[in-house]
Amino acid sequence: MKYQIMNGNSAVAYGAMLSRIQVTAAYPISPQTGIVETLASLVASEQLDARYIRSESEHAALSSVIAAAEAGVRTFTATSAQGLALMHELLHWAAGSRVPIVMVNVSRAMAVPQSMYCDHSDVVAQRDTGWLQVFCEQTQEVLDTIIQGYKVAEQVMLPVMINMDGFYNSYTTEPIIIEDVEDVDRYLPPHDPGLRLDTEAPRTFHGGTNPDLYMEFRYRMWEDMNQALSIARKADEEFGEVFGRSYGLVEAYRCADAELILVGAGSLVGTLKEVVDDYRSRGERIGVLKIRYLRPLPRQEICQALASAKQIAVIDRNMSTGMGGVFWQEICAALHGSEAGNKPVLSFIAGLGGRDVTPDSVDQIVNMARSDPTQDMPIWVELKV
Amino acid sequence: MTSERKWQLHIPLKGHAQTQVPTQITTLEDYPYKSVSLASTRANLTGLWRYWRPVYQTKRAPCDANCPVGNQVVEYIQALLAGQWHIAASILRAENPLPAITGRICHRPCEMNCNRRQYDTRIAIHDIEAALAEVPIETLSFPEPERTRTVAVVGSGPAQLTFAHFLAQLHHQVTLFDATEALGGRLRFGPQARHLSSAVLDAEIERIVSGRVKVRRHGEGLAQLGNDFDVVFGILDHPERLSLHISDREQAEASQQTEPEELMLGSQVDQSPEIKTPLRVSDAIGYGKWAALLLDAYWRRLNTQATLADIQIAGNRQIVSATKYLALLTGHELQRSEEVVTYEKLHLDMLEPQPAMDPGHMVQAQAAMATDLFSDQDLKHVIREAGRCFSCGRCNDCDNCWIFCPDAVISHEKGRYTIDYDYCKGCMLCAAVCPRAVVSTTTEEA
Repeated sequence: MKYQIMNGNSAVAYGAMLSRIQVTAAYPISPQTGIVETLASLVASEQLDARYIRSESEHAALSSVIAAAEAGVRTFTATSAQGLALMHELLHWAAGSRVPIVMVNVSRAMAVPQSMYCDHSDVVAQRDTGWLQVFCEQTQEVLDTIIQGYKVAEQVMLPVMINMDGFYNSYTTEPIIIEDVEDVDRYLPPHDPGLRLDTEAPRTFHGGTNPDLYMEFRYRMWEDMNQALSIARKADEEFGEVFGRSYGLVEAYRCADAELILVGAGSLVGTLKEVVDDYRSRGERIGVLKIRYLRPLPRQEICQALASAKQIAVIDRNMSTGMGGVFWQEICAALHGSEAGNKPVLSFIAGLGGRDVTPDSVDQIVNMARSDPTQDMPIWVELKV
Repeated sequence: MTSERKWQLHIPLKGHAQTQVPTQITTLEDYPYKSVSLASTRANLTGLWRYWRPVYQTKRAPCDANCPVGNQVVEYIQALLAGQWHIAASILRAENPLPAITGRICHRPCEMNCNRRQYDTRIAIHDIEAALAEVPIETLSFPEPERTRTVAVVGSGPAQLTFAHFLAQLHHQVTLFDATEALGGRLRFGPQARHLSSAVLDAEIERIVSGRVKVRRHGEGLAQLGNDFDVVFGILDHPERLSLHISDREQAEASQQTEPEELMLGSQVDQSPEIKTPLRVSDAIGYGKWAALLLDAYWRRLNTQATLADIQIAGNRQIVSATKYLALLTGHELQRSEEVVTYEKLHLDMLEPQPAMDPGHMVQAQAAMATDLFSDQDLKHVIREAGRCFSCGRCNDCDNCWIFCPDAVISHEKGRYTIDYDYCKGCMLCAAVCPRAVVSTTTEEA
């Protein structure tokens, strides 16, 4: 184990290297480009023993990775925004194929208007493709989640999409813990898919499936995705035992007796925690719930964490036009019908297109929440008009 | 999912493995975690869907089709490219006893009609021919006839030399009569003679007559040809006209054994317009060969019209192939079509421009070959020029069909492609990517 100074993109590439990926294919797109560059140079310098496939598009990149994964090797790719959107068809394909790909999405606002900055609208738009979706707050957490991701994906045989915030994490340089690869090997055994493309025993993968068979395949996928919750929980605990860091499926920060709980995902959670500490120092009972897993959604953990709250404010760095933030919808759905369900859940839209969500912004959110606004419509934070 | 469930599909359900029996899955545990066939798709004979059927068929290149001699140009060029010098030379000499001559003074209809001429520059076929003419080879070995005939050949121009060559090869006793000391006729004294070195001519004639053909010079014996020979061929009645006379004895014998129309051979030859003006050396060689092969067929009591249909090249009744005649006599079936692969039949997208060779290099190569001490290095120019050949209508193992077949039903072993018709759906992509139109499209019979 050693500390290395690096930015988020490099940390992602190192996470893939420590996981001993065998094939990677990716297409560069800001703010993800550094990942592709670092992977290429790690392969070129033989630090990473993998096949690096240069791709002509994200569609091709994910296609290559799916095919390699069907052949039974450990695969990795990364993208952002429009690149993720271009992969859309194959996101479904990868999940339906039940291949344990791990992909990092460096979140960036969807065009248009053209933007390179952080926004979760790219990743939440792919919520229903059948991938596990994990949102990370810190760069170290991203690296660790890649290693955990393979552990989970290879058990449930579903792909994992890990979200890292563009710019805030991708371009920020900080000390990162790089574990010894032998230690990672102990945590993450070599991948054996059981069923793989094999010229010696030829089979057709994913041929035409009639109505009498299709639905049951989807049911198995549903069942396995549900199982992913306990597998992910266990993988995170084990990771904590081996490396001393674990993150949970959600992180309830000072929620136990909180009357107002702010809910968020990604890098802005760091700011929320700062503000909450400030309020707590003045004796005000505020907490933060960080959502790590959006899919599968850990409803049990969410309800548990929000049990004490009288009011919940969900801060979304995304916007589902016509309905409000996606995390807000998810929290409402999770609480619905539960014991913790009968309380106001407010929707705040903030930080779209990379606009900073500062401690002042959070103050405004807290004040607005306390003024008991309407729950029907999302509240746009620091809107300039 | 437990690891047990992940592994579950490893053993296909018994009875379903190689059949198309619909699978009955009753419990969720029986469901594979991903959609995958229980066995390979071999059981599904997708070839049954086929309407078009691709067939490999060797065809005629325009160079071959337009050669009056009946040369197999593409065959010897491709053999040369494969590094098989002696085979290439054998293919050349099988059809043409005077390649050193035609390599130099032919009017080159092969090059005029070369498909590459429309694309960039024609192949220097005559140069390759002249170079190959220097390689010593074994000649074709024909089956023995029932009875050996005696043949007199009068004059020693290209037609007579060729006639003598093929009949000698067909095991007949040939005597060549000439009025002068030096053989060669028009090749030595005619207008084309100035383009030919007498050494080249001497060497070529020596190859034909040496040990096989009796030669009588200075007009010796010419006066008493009479009935000493079964057949007399050459300049008999008119200095500008070739004739074929069959002896009375032969005619009497033939009339008892063969159909009356086959006796027409002699008069047919006489009436052929070609024989009155074989001024071009290649036409003369082609005629000499034509007459020799058909005469032999007549002696072997074959129907001459049917034989001609069998051994002609590209549907031209005046051009015949000795190789095809040998195949006919030995019962060996040649897998080829006489369809001519014209320029528009080529798939040009699959071909590449390549500059023609400097003619000076060819002279150098011929010189090296004449010394019989040549190496591949000396001949790289010949090979490079041969490498420009599109190989129209003849497979040269380019692998395109094998690479592009979307169903992977083409296999390639020992220079032969085979299509697995059980699974070929007849998409005809193989034909579309075959640059040289070897893959033909046929339809399945209903």
